[in-house]
Amino acid sequence: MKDLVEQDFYELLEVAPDSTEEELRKALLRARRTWCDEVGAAYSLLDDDERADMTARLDKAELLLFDPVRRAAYNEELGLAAPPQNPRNGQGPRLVLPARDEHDEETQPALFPRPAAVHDYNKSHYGGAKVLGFARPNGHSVPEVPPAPEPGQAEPEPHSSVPAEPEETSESVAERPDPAGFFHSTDDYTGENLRKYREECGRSLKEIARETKVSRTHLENMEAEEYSLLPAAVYVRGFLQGYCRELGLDSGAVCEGYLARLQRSRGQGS
Amino acid sequence: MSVRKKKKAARTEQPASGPSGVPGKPPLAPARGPGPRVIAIASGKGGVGKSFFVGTLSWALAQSGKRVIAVDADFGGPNLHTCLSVERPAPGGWVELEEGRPFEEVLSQTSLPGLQVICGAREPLHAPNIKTSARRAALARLRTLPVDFVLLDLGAGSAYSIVDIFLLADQGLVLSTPEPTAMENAYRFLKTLFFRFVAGQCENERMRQLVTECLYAGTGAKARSPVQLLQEINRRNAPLSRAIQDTLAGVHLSLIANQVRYAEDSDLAEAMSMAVRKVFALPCESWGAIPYDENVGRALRRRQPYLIERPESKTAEAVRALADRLIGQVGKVLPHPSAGGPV
Repeated sequence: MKDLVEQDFYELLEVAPDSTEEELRKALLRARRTWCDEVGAAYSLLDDDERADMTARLDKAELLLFDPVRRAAYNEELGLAAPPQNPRNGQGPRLVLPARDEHDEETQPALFPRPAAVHDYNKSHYGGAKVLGFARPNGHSVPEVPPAPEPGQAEPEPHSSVPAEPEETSESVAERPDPAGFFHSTDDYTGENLRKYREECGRSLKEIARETKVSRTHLENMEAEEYSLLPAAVYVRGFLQGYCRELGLDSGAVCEGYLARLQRSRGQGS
Repeated sequence: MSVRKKKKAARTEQPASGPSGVPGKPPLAPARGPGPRVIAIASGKGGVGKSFFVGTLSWALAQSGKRVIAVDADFGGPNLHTCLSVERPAPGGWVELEEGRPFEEVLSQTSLPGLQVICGAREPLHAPNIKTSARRAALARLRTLPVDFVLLDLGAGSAYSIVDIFLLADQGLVLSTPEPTAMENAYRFLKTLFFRFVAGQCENERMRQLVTECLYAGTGAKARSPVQLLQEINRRNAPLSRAIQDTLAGVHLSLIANQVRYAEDSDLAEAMSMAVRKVFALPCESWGAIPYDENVGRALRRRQPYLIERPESKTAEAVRALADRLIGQVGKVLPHPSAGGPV
């Protein structure tokens, strides 16, 4: 869906660009519940491809926004005044963007990348400052924010599809086998090796499907390298990112290796 | 701005785009000046609790001292009078209102002094098939009454006849339950609403033609998504696109989750309204959730208004909070009509 795809991550999540990690986590959870579940709140609005696309985007948003370095680069790319200050405690000043009004519309005739400007959502509903994306309604949609967990003692939420922290607790890391024993080069990121590694981690596909909201069929086809049954590569990338996050693998390397195999196979097939 | 002037002029020429007997009033935006705030309630799917909600909300508003007229605009399946336990319905209803009969003949009194109902119980069988122009005239009459709120309880479905009445109101509330069927039909209603809204904004036949073309442009359903329709209009006629967006920005539209049983569904309206903003380009607010209460059915069987039967329940509390929200909102936007006491 072009209109949704055109939105940047903050707009997609309806959060301010200087949101704390806690706010982002909640927004991501809500977005996943809305878009990624087949019978979620957006039931009947997206078809399978669009839902997969949305899932991949949210995966990407998660990887990017919880990495301070990448997030700062992304903010800069968006033309935000400054990178978020101290995202963990949210004490930094709210970023105020140059007002986007008629002048911008002149230079940017495709009015629709920015629905916030179209509806002037901040102004008409919440009387908020002009921040990029959507201001949060005054506590209506976001339940009370519990204090940010101390690093290291973040308890993983059982029903959350969002991992508690980008870095895993030391406990779960210790349980995992060393990926170096399974993958020696990018060519080793085969479906079969990924499956072996997953089994070694003691994780079931059912579990991963639940956490990543990627259907079990897709995950099975991915491990079996049933390329003809998988959607376009861009979606498979999203699946892989979720999969790697669950297993603590380097998703960049896995995507590179696995997708190269997929492209090669599809190239021969056609 | 010449576009605005042109738009206004075109509205008066084209009754199809000038709603409700209030000259130049945009759809789903409050009318200027005195007169009641007209609120339309719809849902798409039937059986999600619209009539219960309208009945209970109007009761709560009247209990807060507001003068309210609840209108049964579900012409094919009227039952609002039952939810409000009207003992002696007036001889007439909406049809007689359209015919210009005196208000005494169409307004039924409830046991609460400030609350009157326009019942559908005794309406002729052709009532569901009356033209929208006649509905518009009837609503214009209601707007002259010295009351604070007019609540329109619409029927199920997304027929143009239903959507068009919804667009005549000053603000709209859409109800859904957490069931996928109800969500699906609520979205369908909102999508139809969007397209009727845009078509109604066109000043002349040529522009309507443009919208129709855009609607069917390209291949596949994706070319017909609301945001893409606006993009296409913007490409072909930028002033029209800007005018539509100006009007869209003034829309008062909210979503309410009804019959919510589980905690995990309590933020359903937030999630659904976010989806509506993103997919349908409609500014849509979440107005929260109303918990399920099995005693709603019991109250109906005992012919008791719900707020009398169960005044302390969580459900009652939620509806009263919505009534307060409406009252607070109107206080800000609309000067209170100074004339007259209860009708």
